[in-house]
Amino acid sequence: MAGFTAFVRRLAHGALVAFAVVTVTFALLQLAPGEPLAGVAESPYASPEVIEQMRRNFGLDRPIHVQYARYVRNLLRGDWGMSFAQRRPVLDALADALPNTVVLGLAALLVNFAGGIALGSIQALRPRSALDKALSAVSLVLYSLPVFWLGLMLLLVFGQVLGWFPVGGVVDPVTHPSLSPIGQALDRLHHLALPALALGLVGAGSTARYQRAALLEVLGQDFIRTARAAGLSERTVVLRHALPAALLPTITLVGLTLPSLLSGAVLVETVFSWPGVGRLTVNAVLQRDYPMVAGAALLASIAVVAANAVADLAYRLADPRTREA
Amino acid sequence: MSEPLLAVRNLSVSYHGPDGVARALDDVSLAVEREEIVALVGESGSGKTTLALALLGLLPEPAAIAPSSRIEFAGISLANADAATWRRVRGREIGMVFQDPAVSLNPVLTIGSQIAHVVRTHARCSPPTARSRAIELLDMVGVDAPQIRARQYPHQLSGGLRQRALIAVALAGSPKLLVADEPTAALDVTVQAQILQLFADLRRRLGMALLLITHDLGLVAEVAHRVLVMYAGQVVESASVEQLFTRSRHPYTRGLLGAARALEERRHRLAAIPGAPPRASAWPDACRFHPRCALAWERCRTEAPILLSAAPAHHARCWLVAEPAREGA
Amino acid sequence: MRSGWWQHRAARRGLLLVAALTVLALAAPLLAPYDPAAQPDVVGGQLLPPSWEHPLGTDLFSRDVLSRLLYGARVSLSIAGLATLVALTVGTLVGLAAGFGSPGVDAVLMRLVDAGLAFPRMFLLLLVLALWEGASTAALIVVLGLTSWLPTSRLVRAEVLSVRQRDYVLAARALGLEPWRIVARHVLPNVAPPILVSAALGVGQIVLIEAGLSFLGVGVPPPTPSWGNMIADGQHYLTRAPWLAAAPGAALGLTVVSLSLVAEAMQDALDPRATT
Repeated sequence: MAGFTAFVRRLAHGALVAFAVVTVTFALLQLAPGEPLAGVAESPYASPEVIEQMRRNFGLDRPIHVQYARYVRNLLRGDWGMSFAQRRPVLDALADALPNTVVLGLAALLVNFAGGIALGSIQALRPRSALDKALSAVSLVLYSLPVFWLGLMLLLVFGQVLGWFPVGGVVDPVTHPSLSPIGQALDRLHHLALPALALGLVGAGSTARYQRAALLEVLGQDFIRTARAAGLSERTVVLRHALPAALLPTITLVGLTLPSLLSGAVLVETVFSWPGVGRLTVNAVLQRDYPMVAGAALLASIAVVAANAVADLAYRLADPRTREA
Repeated sequence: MSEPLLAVRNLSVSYHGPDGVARALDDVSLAVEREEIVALVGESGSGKTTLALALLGLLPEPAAIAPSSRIEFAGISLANADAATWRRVRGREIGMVFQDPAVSLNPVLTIGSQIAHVVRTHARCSPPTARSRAIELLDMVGVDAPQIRARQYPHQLSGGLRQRALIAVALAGSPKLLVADEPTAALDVTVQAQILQLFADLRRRLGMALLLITHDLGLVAEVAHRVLVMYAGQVVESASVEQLFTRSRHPYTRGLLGAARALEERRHRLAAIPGAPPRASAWPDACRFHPRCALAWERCRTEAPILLSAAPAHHARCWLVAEPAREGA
Repeated sequence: MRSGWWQHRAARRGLLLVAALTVLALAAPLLAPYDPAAQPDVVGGQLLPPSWEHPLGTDLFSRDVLSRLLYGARVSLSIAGLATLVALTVGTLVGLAAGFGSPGVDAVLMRLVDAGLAFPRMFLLLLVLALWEGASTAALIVVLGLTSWLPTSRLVRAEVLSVRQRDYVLAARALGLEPWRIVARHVLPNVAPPILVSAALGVGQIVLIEAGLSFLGVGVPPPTPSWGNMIADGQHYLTRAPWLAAAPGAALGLTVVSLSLVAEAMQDALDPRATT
């Protein structure tokens, strides 16, 4: 099946990019000024065992290409270094934090695309009307706001002033253990709402813009005229003929929003004390925990590459024209 | 004589653009009886597609139908009708087949589901019933292995099959009149003949009337009962097929016939009509064909001719009908 | 082209806003009612709500918020502007190298660009800023610029590739003109408009990124006011003194909106076929 080879090719391309990312990270670590471990030794969290581990990992006494080979080998073996601040392997800390970021990311993607597609579609149905112009302005403003500020404002209004939502964390530390499974799920959703909204709304602005253009273009195509001539109601024409065709290009947008989604997650997780990879990275930076920062950056980029490959596959499956050929 | 199925009277359509007003149709009248096949012939720019779109209320935004226009279909008035009326008429009373099936079918839906949508819109039935009806329709239009084809996407079908699928979409609501705009233009010659045969069959089997829009006179001779010739937004000749091909009265029609015959007999020089039709924004207040007409005289240059009766049910918009002596041989 | 530009109402507003912001930022020392670092009455003047003396209130250290906002505009806008210049320069150079170079060079460079685009910016910036701690503002500008040149390089490369094939370029090369001449006379004029549009949007993006970094504590260090670190200061007093965080954020939003309007209008003026 030809689609399979295309997918494999995409994976290979992704692997190459991941490889380049690893190389760049290694280069950055090497290029950092000063003796790499001098800063480590001064860090209040570095113990002798950790420094020794780092020496071994980096093989600092060996020539650079050997160091590089060791670095890559270690990464592949699952040895991503030791976190100073947490006194445990970087990969463990990342593995703990990753699910939280994934949940937040998926929820934000949902907000982004559900909101953006709805907004853009409404605009495309009444182009150049007052509603269209107003919604365009709304999209523009959403897109221009700093995501962390939006988070803070949401926190202020809905968390502190109105008290409808909690102001941080993944679950309620006090009541969560004693809740029923449904209660626990609701508690999680309750905590997820504001951060996901903040992270998703900013992206929704640009998604809306894209969707508006895509739907307008589809509505001008001949096959829409055929559907109307056959007597289909405007509602059916839009929902069952136009939207499916317009959604295809919008799916490609998912891959493109991932880097900014992760970047935004760093800020939103900080604002809402969300224990994900983003907050982990920020804390690591403030604590001079270099292995952690490097590990998180690597994880983030590999995640983007992988997610892109999946998104590409999804597009190929969704478009009937590329499904077989 | 009962009311015709479709009666168009004094239809005028103009486009309002940033550069001014362009008239696409000027005072056009035509009638189609039940189960009749009427052909509408003309070159591009003559207004035939505009006429087809007007019959279904599908004219694009900048177009406007003049208030004096009348379109009556089985007693329903269609000129400037409202959305509710169109919902009753489109697909159910009048169906339309467009040219270029490659872009007229939705690329992301199977052809079966596209037909089924139409079936369900016009007849309250369950999805499975609609799907089997779709397969029936595909069979009726001559698509092989309809069950398999119904699950396929347009890009998987050949041009001829796509056109048949488009026809099935148009027939799904069981309309009484089918308007076909250049249905064979995008197809090769052998397939053209098959599609024509299909139209003739369908008319007989379904008791349907057909308005066939084309620039191909060969097609007209094959299937039509009556013909209307259009030029620069007006009807210039209207006659039965027999009358048109043996005794046409308008120089433009004769030019078209001459060119067609030349093609058939493979003469070395096509008897092409020199010149080109006038632009829609610059229609002269005289006979619009006179610059290209070998027989034109003073009257043609100063007075716009009206449709004159040359014989029963045979009209031509030419002063020669009033003054036949000028024709000579 | 000029007249089409002015007819666009939103463009006018956008341009006016940008101009106003630039003027405000440049004239901050003249306009600010107070010295942004002054702490006149440390205890009694803390967290005062907006009033005639302090139109935007005071912060935790009794500093006037409006003055800090104006100085912050200076800081944030100049950092973003300079970083964009760095990004444009590097991006253009790389794009030219990729476009004019051999297919091998092009492939390598473009793979690097792909890898760069896959790296979420925030993580890359945090990594670099963590490793080079104690970064001066200059270093911050350079780092921001060096992480933003990727889209520009793609644009320039595309333009070079399309221009390379054109007849007048082939003729020029046949006549023996050096490549840099070809670049100056043919490539740059064609690629300048989309680069300008990209630059306008880029400045907006960098302003937001710098604000994010300052908010996290790794950008502009206090006490120098930056809109980002002002929001960081204000986040602990959201209910007591919401204006502390609200004002800089609104300023950020306003800046980016006006830059986007300008970019959009430039886009329309240069490519009238683009659908709105």
